[in-house]
Amino acid sequence: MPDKRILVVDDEPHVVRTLTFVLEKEGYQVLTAGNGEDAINQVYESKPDLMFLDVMMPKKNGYEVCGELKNDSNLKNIYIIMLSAKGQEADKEKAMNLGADEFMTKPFSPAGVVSRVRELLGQGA
Amino acid sequence: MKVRTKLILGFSVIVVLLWGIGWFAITSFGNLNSQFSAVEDTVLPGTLAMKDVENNANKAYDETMAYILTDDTQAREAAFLYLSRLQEILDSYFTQVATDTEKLQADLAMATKITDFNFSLEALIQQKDDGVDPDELLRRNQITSMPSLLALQQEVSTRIDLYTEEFTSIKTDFNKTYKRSQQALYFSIGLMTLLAIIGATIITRSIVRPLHALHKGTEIIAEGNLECKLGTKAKDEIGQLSRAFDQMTQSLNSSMTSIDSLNSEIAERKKLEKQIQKQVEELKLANDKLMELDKMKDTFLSTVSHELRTPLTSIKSFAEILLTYDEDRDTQREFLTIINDESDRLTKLINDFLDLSKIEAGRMQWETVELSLTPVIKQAINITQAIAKEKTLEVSFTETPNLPNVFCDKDRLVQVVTNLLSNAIKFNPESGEITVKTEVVAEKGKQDSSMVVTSVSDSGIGIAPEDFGAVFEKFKQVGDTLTDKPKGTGLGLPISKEIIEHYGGEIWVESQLRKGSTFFFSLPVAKRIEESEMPEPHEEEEVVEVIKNKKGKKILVVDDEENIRIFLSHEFKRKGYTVFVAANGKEALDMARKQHPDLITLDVQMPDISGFDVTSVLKNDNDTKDIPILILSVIEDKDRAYKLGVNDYMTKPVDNEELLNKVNQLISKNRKNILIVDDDKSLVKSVRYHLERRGYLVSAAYDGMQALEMIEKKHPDLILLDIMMPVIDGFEVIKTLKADPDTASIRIVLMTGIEIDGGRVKALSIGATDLINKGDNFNKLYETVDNILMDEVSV
Repeated sequence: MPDKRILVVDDEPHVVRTLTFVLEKEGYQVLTAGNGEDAINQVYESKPDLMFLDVMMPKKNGYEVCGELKNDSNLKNIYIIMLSAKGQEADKEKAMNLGADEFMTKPFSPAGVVSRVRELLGQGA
Repeated sequence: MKVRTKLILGFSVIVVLLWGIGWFAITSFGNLNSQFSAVEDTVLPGTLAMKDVENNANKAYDETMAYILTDDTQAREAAFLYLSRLQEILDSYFTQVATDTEKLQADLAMATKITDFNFSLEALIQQKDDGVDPDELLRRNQITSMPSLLALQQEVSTRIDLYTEEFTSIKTDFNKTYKRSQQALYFSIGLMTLLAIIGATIITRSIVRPLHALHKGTEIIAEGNLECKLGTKAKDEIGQLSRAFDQMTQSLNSSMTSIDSLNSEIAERKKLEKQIQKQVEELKLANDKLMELDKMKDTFLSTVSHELRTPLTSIKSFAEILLTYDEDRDTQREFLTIINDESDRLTKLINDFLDLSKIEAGRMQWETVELSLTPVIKQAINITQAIAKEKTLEVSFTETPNLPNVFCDKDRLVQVVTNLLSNAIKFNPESGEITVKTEVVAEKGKQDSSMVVTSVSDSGIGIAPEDFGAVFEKFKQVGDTLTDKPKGTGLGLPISKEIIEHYGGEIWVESQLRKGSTFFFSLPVAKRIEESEMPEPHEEEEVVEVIKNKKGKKILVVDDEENIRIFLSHEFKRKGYTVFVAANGKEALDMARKQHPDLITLDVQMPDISGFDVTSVLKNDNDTKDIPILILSVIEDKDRAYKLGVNDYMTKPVDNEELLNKVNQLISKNRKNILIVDDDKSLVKSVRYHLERRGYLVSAAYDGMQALEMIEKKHPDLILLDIMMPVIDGFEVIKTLKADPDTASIRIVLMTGIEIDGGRVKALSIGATDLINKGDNFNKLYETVDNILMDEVSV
């Protein structure tokens, strides 16, 4: 089974750190980006299988990134899990309308995240 | 042309015409007179006839005489011619038969005389023809012809005289009549003129006057006065017109009155409509504002949620990782450090929210002291040093010599400067410079009230001018779009604004995008308290007393930092106090029980037993609860400290002088505890300030309920109690206190904002010690307080 690649996009280094830590523990290949523009570059470069996408970020916010990727027929199959600390219904709706596959509210349980990723992608390595 | 002028002109024309007729008549009379005179001379037939008779007679006589003497036949014929003429005259005479007898007789006599004359002359001529001697004839003539000629002449003369006499009499009569007529004419003309003038005057009056009145009336109406009434009684057309005019005015007046009332009704309605419209608009505005506020609150809540969840995410994630995975000690430590840092961040956030909501609700406790900004800025620079170093930023601060003091809460002011500094650091690029400056600026137009202006400049991203105001607004963050992620809660500046404004200052920003921002805040220069407000002698006495009492006073210094213990001991010993030291909570408790010091200075953050724990143990022990405790700490948690019964609280680093003053106050036996209760916060602030300056320990409550809580906790020596307050009023508070034997003896000074009849008596009757009118000079209040508490000492 080939390595599954996961891109973690968040401007909060601690969030990136947590997700990277648990996902690597599960054997996934983890890429990171600290803002929206970086995220898009990373996607084009390494075509991840799944990405965690924070909403509030500098340069390009998560909604914009999500919209852009879901409008690209080559990239729209990338599974996007949006992360938001705002957690209001309207935010979730907006994310879903833009084509996000899931919407997670912070704080989240790393174990929960891992089991969900495993369901979607299977074992990483 | 005016009617009056027209009438006068008309009458004048009539008069002139009359005079013209008169003049013509008189002239005609004159002509008549002259014609009459001509008649008198030429056309007097009687006289002429008589003269003709005389003339012919004379000629006939002369010719006859000539014939007689010369025998000239021509003369004879001439004589007969004249005689025949005479005969003709005579004949014509009798063709007109005289009517009256007298004239008839005169005519007959005349005829006889002519006939006589004719016969005598004819006889003479006959005789001549017959050849009678001329002399004879002359003689005969002497007898016949001559006398008859003379008689004829006589008769003619008589008759002429008669005629002349008759004419003269006629003329006289005529003249008389003429004169009388002339006079009558003059009289008539004069009379007519007079009548014309009188008539003109009367007509003018009866026409022009009412017309004039009408004219005046229209003018008055035109001016808008409809009360005008002509009230004429005349029955002519003008009278009718005037009455019609009055009627018109009256109906006009009544219609105007109704129009007026209609107009005012319309105006009233319009006003009402406007009011309603205004209210609707206001309501709409209020609604819009509410909606906006609601939206802002939503946004704010969402931001708050985001800000709280972000550190919480790290805490939860790392805690879970630590629980799930067995990592080496270093990794564990790394994760624990993150958890700890994020917890601090969360705490700071929560504190900010609480601060703001406290300020907003008016529950913030402000400690007002006179202080210099210089140490405040230094302290803030110290606090932010770590984060500045992270970005290799330099904070430069040039001290201003002799910078005047300001009134402020020191910790709050440190909070403001720290906030401005951390913002500057946050938005500054690495290796940039941050400058802090202070200066004194005179307020415009007010020489005696200048401000100390502090500025913090960065060379960061800057702020757009349209956002200058917004940066200080609550619930708002400049550039709060999703891409420009705001750091922090966006509450630092609103909190700073509240703090600065609370102390009468202003906070503002000047900035250029990409060039940097400068945040300014100003605070009024602390004015020296006037002597009248703050009697010097009193203070001196107190100072002397304090020094006297200082001998043998014991201070226990508790701090885990050896340097601080050494420093404080040194300072206190220098002032003549006996000093004991303790390096931790356990030592502190032992020392306090053993030495029973007059004062304890206590650090909060100590290993094992914290300063707060020490306080709660000491304050709950009857032996030690009266020992004043002064907290000296870097952390600021006054609320908790005061709740535990701490007497005073200072934030490190402390100002030496301020510290010694506080120590003096706390240690002095005269230091009394005063609770001031009033819902007017600015009044509380001011009274509190002055009482603290007088050496009292002052606490404050803002309503009756709070007051009762404070009294139970602090058991003050004196309460300054406002009567009119929300929740529980002053009277209720007194009632409650007097009912409880524990609090019944507390002295109470009632304060009232309004004059109450017999208020003092009433106040004393319900157990108050005194009643003070808030309108009075506050020195009276302070003196009253002094007197009451001095009494208590002597008792």
